[in-house]
Amino acid sequence: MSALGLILIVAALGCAVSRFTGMPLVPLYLIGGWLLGASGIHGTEEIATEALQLGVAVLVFLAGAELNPQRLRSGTRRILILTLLPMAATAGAVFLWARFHEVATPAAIDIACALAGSSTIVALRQLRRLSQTLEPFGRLVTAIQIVQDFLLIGVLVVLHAFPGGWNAVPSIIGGTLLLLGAAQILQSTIIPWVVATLRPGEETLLMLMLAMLFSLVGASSFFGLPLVVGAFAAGISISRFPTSGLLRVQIAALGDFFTALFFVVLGYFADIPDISQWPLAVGLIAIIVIGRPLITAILARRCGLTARPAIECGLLTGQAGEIGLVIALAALGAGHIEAETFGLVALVTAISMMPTPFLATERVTSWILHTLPIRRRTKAHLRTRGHVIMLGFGAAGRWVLKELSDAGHTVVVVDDDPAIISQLEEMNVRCVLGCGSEKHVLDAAGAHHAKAILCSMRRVTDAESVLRLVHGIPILARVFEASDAERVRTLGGIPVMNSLASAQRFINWLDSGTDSSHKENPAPTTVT
Amino acid sequence: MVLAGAVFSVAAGWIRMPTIVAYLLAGLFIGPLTGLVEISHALELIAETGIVLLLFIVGLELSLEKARVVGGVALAAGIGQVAATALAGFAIASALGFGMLESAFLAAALTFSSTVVVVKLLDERHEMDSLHGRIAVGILLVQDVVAIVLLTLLAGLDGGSVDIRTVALGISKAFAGMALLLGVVLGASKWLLPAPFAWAARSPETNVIWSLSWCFLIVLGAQFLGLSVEIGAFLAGLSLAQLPYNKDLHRRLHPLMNFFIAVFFVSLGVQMDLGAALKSAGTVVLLSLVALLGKPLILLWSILRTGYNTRTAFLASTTLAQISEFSFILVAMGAKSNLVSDSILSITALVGLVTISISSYMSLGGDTLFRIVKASGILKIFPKPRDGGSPEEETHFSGHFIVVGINTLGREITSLLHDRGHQVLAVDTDPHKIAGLDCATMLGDAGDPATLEEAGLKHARMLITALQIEETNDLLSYRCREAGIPCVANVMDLSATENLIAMDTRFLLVPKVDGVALQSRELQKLGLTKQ
Repeated sequence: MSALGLILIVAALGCAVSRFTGMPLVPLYLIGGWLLGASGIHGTEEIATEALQLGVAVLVFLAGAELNPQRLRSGTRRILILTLLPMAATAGAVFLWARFHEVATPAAIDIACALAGSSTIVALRQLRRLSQTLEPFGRLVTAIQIVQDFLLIGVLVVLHAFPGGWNAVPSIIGGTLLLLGAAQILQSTIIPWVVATLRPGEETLLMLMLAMLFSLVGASSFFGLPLVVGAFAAGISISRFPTSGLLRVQIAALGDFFTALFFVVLGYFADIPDISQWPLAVGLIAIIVIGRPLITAILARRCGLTARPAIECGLLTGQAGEIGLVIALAALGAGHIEAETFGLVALVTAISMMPTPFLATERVTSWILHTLPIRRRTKAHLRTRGHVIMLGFGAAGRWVLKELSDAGHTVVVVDDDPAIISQLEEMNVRCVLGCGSEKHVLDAAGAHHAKAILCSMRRVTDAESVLRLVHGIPILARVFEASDAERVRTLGGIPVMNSLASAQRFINWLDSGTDSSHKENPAPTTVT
Repeated sequence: MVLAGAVFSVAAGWIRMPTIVAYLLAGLFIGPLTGLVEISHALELIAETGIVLLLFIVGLELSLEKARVVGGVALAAGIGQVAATALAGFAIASALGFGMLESAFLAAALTFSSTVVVVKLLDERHEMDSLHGRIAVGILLVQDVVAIVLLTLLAGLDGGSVDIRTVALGISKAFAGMALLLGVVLGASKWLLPAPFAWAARSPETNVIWSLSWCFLIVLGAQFLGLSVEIGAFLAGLSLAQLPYNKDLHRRLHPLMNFFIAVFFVSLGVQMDLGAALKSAGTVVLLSLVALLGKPLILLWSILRTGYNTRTAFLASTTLAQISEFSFILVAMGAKSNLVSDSILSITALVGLVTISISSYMSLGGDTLFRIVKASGILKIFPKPRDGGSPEEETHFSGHFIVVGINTLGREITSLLHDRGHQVLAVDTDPHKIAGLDCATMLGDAGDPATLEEAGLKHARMLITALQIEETNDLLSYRCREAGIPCVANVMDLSATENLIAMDTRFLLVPKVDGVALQSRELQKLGLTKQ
């Protein structure tokens, strides 16, 4: 009991630091565990084995539960490219760097596998923080993380099988496929039937889920597989809607508890690498935090993403992941790597996770966009008068452009994404590359001679800048918050509040009395 | 263990058997009957953690105001019941031919009701916050104090002789420790905890980990002071119950508790040695009747004398009609010190199994049982409640709109509905977002069925989710379809409406598209486009 109490108190301190600084929890838990170990306070050993085993099982189970087939349906090729190539490139670079530092080949392979993937926990948390989970690139990053975790579990299986020689590989792979097949049947047939027919209560459903988890973990042990295979298969089996939704709250509670337990204990037992290994560690961190995002962003552009989401995509995957720690832990348990090497992997993982919340932000993305070598200089001033300017060309930009063009207006689009500007120029639309809140960009777009300005840039501060720089012209600014609308109104602008429009349409529908009689299809087909 | 628990739990659902009984039977099956499982240290730890979480959650439900209301009746009925049951138990055991010490142990074992069982039953019926639930928990806490005194007394027994000084010192220490811990948690709940928990309130994960660490910190403090982990966990919960986030914390910790407590009950079944007891079936039946009938009758009389109404008194009494896991510990300690024979331990285990199982049914069918007993006229022999008894206080929503997710969209909808005179309940996980709204508000995760139940989904006119969380919106549309309530959902991306449409969502809010339409109207007003 005292061991559990101690771990939770360390985890609570980690949460406090995370809340205060915005850093992800996982590295703070690891550091907390390290400090606990270094402090000489003992007691955690009492529950170490159980905490690590249960922690791994729950962590991998959670990863499997995210593997909703609906999330992977669109853009499969793009998802695979953006998963496989950065993983392979990172693993290759890590392997070479480790070999350069005279790490033995088998250990270098283990390190490369452990550091090849990025962190699902960190990336998804950041997406949620920035409310970008449902943005197209947010969905793409989520899908990449899911496929990546799936591949890493496969890597773990192969690493587990390899010491038994090539002869052991078929049986291990056969056992894995069998369990994944069972998970597929459970997911598509048995569990939906149980949920629909038996309608189990909250508690019974939780017990069934845990029973399935422990049964499949037992089955993987029976087939001589690592326990993570069973845990992952169990996760997959509950990943389909509505089961996933029904268990979401229950899983979250277990996840919070066991994640804290697992990482604090892991930190407690991880050795801090010797000073002689720090150059190796620094190089690995650089590969992961700088190299990997760069490769991902370039590939994302190649796959058709515009510059901004491609950069955001890269920045979100610039860290090592928690499943990598599970791989390293398994390698340590199997005697493939030394405790010091495990400590190195843990250290690199923890440090690489820390900058993500500060790097994967709109501010950094905009800064990179503005300093990109491919950025072209703002063109000479457009000699246009009486035109309409669109500042920011978002998801609905195409629709607005068509409406204005159909009404016979000359439209000038201003956007800071070179890819968007290129596409529009190919369509013979007049464009200015740059941030619409800057004076020289507005001058280039002929803002003072325009008929109207439609501002749909992300930040309200950008709209405020425009309102301060341009006077005497109607300026419509898209805003999300009521307070932002007031700020726009105060400066003489016309706020366009999306939520207000939606709320009003709902009330109109309600007042029309159709709420109880029939379903409305509200999706306008004109928007694509 | 988990697999057996799950299988028995599903089977129990078919025959409306309480899950506690299912878990105990699962334990008996994989333990004494088949020998498939043995209790390890890790399982003991999980079971103990389950008890800690359960009591912590009980504490979370009990604000000081509520505790004050039932404090008097709990003290009076608790002490009265302990004394009367002990005397009756001792007399019956003596009459059955047991020696003085063995009779004393059996009497003590019969005295206590199971905090874990009672709380679990109340929780299953969502009655933890009911008046009879609070009275029952109050009485259990009084019993816990008596149990500490008894354990201290037992520790002072040396081969049958009593070392008065050790006992007196032990009891004094226990009471001093309890007073100190109570002072610490009440002080903390007033001055220490509100500010940090308010700061952390926007991060549910932080809130959960902080509350758990606070719980274990107080449990360790309780252990240090020689008190039980149950008392520590309860007091930790009590201190957080004074904060506005107690219900949300309760809901978030509930699944975790369910897992740990299931292991506790199954392991309880595994550890039951019923061999010797089966030979003393008559004794077991008689002692079980004392717990199942005698104890509730004593409690009924005691509670009615304090002025509560008959139904409240009856439900509180029947809920406590079993012996406790503490009874096993007490008798086991006696057996270890050679004060009683092992057969007493077996008899206690079987009485425990019988009374826990039957009392679970009595509790679940409490209202039906009350109607039958009332119709039989038996209750006329008990004291009449003063001024008709105290009413149960409950809040009900009906015909209302539930708005989930108080972001700008949610706030706009709430405001428009409220202005039209509709009854609105706003739900969000962030206390800052629901603060200052004109309508009724609730703090909680709408993905949790307990939140929706508390929000009165079944009686609602409509649920509107303004959340930007796709999975939760899908789940809410599913829950609405199950409850037959129309659902309106926010959609951030038109390519992700498959589940919402399949779940028959009535109306989709699409702010991005609606914003464009609004902009288009503004352009028309400016004369830039035509209608």
